[in-house]
Amino acid sequence: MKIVRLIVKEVKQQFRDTGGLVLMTLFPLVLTLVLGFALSGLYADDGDLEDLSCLYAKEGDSLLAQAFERDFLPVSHEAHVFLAEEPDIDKAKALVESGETHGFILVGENRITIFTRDSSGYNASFLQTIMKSFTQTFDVMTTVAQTHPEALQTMANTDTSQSFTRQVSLNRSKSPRAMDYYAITMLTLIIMYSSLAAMSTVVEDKRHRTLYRIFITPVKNHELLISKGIGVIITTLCQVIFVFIIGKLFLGANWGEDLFSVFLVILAEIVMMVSVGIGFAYLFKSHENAYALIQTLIPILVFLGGGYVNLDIFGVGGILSTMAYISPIKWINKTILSIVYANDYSSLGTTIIICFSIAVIFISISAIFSKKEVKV
Amino acid sequence: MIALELNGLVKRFGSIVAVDNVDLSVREGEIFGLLGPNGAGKSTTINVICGLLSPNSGSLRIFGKDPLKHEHFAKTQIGIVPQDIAVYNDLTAYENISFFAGLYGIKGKELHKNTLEALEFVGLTDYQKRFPKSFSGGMKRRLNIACAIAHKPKLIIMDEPTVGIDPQSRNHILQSVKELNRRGSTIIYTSHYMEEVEEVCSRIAIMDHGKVIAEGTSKELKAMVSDTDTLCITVENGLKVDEKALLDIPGVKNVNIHENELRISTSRDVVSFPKIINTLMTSDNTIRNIESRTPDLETVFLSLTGRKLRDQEA
Ligand SMILES: Nc1ncnc2c1ncn2[C@@H]1O[C@H](COP(=O)(O)OP(=O)(O)O)[C@@H](O)[C@H]1O
Ligand SMILES: [Mg+2]
Repeated sequence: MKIVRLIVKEVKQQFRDTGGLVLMTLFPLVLTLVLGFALSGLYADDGDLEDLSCLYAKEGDSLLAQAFERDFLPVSHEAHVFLAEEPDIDKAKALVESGETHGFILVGENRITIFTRDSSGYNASFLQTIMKSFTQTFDVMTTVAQTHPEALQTMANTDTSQSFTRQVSLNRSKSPRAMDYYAITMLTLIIMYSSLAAMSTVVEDKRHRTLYRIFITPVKNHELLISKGIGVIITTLCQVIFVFIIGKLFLGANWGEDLFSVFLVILAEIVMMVSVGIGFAYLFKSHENAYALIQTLIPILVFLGGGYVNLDIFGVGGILSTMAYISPIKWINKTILSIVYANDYSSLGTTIIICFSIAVIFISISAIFSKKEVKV
Repeated sequence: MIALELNGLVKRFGSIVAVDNVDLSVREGEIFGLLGPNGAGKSTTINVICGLLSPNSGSLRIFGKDPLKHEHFAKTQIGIVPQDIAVYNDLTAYENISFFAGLYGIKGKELHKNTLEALEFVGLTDYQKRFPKSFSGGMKRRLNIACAIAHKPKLIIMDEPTVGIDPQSRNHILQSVKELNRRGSTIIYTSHYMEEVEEVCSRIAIMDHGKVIAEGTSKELKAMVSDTDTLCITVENGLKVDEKALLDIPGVKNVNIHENELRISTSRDVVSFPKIINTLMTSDNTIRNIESRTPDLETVFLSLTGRKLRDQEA
């Protein structure tokens, strides 16, 4: 009951902070719009797909290799993928490394391997996706051929290659437009700033001596901490939902089909940043230092996370690309983009674990350091 | 019934002994005054009473119970008006009072009723929907009081509730202290203004350097210095005098110099007046005014400590 009271008060105060509300809602929407238009040339576009030129090689003359040449090669250009054979595997790999070709497809006995320079970029995930759907089709055909050879005739009549490319093109147009990209990264960017809101609830309570007043009531320290955390989480969630809805309705942002998983990542980010904010408020004696540190850290982490520009698109490889993974926001953006555009859930678990581990660390810091303050 | 009892209370901050072996006993229904200059240890004593600081030694009882063992009981019985104004600027007056009272577990209709009563009591009913940002110093002080009383505590502790406000608001606050007491609350009133303490308090303890140096009713305290007269002498330009020479005069107990003003406590039985004047004249002072004062709490403090209560201010 007391906790509910404390939470309601926090939420009320947050919603009265018009500056904070504008920062958290209008700011990301306007930035999405501006960056979405300004940088649209750098990202995929609905009508005008970038051509991908790739090399391929066959290892032996397997059934798979035959199917590849028979069914895939003739239609691949419809998905703007242009293939040339390069039997020298090492040379092909070197060309990929040097960036002279977008990718290299090695067709083996019974599997297809794809080489790209940066395995997390859109071109890479696009190639992965189309080759996956190709091998799946192939697998079905082989199974059918083995068990019901008579059915194969019927299937051959329905133009499988045609439907295959349609599927491929569809996949291709699913890579994010600039607007879609920024709708996601600007949302994850502002959530970073929920740490400031969380920090100021603690700092303001100290500054206005209201913390003293709360401590002379029967409220326990952990009740206060929990309610502050939940209060800011609730407010941030409301803001996020607002930005989400407006972004979808007016900017046509694409959030994919699996909203639940995307929401899970966003919630994990909110919980992490709110904990960081409260932890910082207790960790630092000087509020100015705590504010300054967070204000400096966020843009760096967001930059590394590709929040402002997609580092993959600029081909910034090597050290920076690797370094980016120290930024939790890199994991968050990558996970959401993978879920929305490639149905790829491989990093979801890691991201959630990273967020909650950081949250646990800072919640513990708050619990330890705030206890000391009760006594002085 | 004893509302509050302190036995040998000690609170140190490093080498500073902020509260030095304090014994106090406040009876239910009293307005008890805690008078002392800035830094005397009044706020520290209060912070120990409300459980924000743990004492280095000594014990305390609130309505007969040990607050360490009966924390919830102790906290709900006490209402504290902090020395610094402690309200939320982004909550209205009503919301501030209702929020803090709610933290004591009061809810629903009772909470609403108590909140309105507290607003009424401090005269802020018309301002209940306003934010404290727009309040004057006096209004903020009154809201600060309202936030401490809406949960109907039996013991109300006010820590310098009149610092930095206009005389009208000060008067309003002093009247409300008496009114709260009439309605049944025991009150501990802390101040470094002796006129206030003298006006509202039934019993007074004088604190200095963490110690209680005298205790009793205003009458009893003044009786302690009934053999003392205070001489206030104002001179032209700077005061040129050797303090020691004045103290050497028989009958002079204490000398306090402040710019052009000289305050001397003298023993009533010894005639020292001519010698004092003589000393001043021979030191080349031009006397502008001489005044003899009947003892007040200021005299008490002066004669006990040799200092004025408000030395630090000025
Ligand atoms: N948290 C603290 N840390 C160190 N010293 C303190 C602290 N609080 C008070 N003091 C010191 O204790 C003494 C008593 O202070 P305080 O109780 O505030 O006096 P008063 O309220 O009578 O003005 C002062 O010397 C003050 O500097
Ligand atoms: Mg004080």
